[in-house]
Amino acid sequence: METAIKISGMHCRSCEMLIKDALEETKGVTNAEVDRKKGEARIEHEGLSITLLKKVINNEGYSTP
Amino acid sequence: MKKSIYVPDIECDSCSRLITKKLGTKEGIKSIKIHEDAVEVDIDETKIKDAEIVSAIRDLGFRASTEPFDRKTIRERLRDYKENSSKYAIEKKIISYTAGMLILLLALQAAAYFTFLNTIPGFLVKYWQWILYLDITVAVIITGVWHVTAYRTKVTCMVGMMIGMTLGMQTGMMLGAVLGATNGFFIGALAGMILGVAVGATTGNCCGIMGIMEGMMAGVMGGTMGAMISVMMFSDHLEIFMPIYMIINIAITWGLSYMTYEELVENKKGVVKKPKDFTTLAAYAIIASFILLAIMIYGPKSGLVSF
Repeated sequence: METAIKISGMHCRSCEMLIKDALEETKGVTNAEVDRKKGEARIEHEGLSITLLKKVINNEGYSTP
Repeated sequence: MKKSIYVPDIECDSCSRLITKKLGTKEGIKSIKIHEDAVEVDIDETKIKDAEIVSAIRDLGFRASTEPFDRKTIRERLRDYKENSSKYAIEKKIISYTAGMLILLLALQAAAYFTFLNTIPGFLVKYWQWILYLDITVAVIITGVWHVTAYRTKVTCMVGMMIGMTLGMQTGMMLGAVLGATNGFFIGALAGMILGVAVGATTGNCCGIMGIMEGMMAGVMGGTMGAMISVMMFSDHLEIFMPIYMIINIAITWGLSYMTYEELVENKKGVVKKPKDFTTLAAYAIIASFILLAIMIYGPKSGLVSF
């Protein structure tokens, strides 16, 4: 399944890559695409909870309103 | 062994973290220190070569090299301008301020025309293009001066001399040519020279006496030369020459702003930004433009020009 999460606080390509890496390192995530211009991440995963995915992003220092 | 890898695109904390994270997985790197435009690594050369680190950083999408990078090319600058437009907040205002001042001056002059200047016979036909050039000159020069004085920082002699010379020369050249065309050599050279010297010395002052001298000399040269251009070309297609001349002079003045940013602001520590607001600028522009306009219309005219 695919989930889209809004992220604020990204300002460059490095931010995208950091979040993408962190998400893809999470067990159960098969693919993640982060777009700083849209301010969102699209995550393909095996039924993880949104709270967990948001927590991964928060841990990298970005907020998910 | 300590090595420096130059990475000019590090812009934020995320970039530093990303590079640290990526290099952290490699064997043979004992420590990583991220600077503003370089990564300093302490490596065990038997286990890893610096070329591997360079390519690892490049894989992340950064420019990286063991040699320092040159200044940005114009293409790189445009890309940077698009992607990191917040860095150029002051520079962005140059065009909007110039345009705003131009519109303001033209509106005030239109009001002046309909109140009293229309009693002068044939006023618009004689003066319209020279008033337009005068306004463009005032707006471009004042925003140019505004831009270089928006930053308080240490200025090297070379940069200060460029600033003083360019602004002194452009003020003299542009004003001298405009007033030379309407009033003749005497007023054109005098006004161009005095204002050129004043602007050149004030802006060149940022690096001390070298800049002041350079600015003053450029003002003398530009003011007299500008007036000479108009007077000598008056009966030889001056109307066609002027638009081209103005465009080139505007390009030079804007080029100075570009140079100022590159040399004075980018990657420099301790730059204080204190740009004056538009109201102050507009006030200067209105005063300057109306004094010059009065000189243009009511000042002495030589027999050489047909006004």
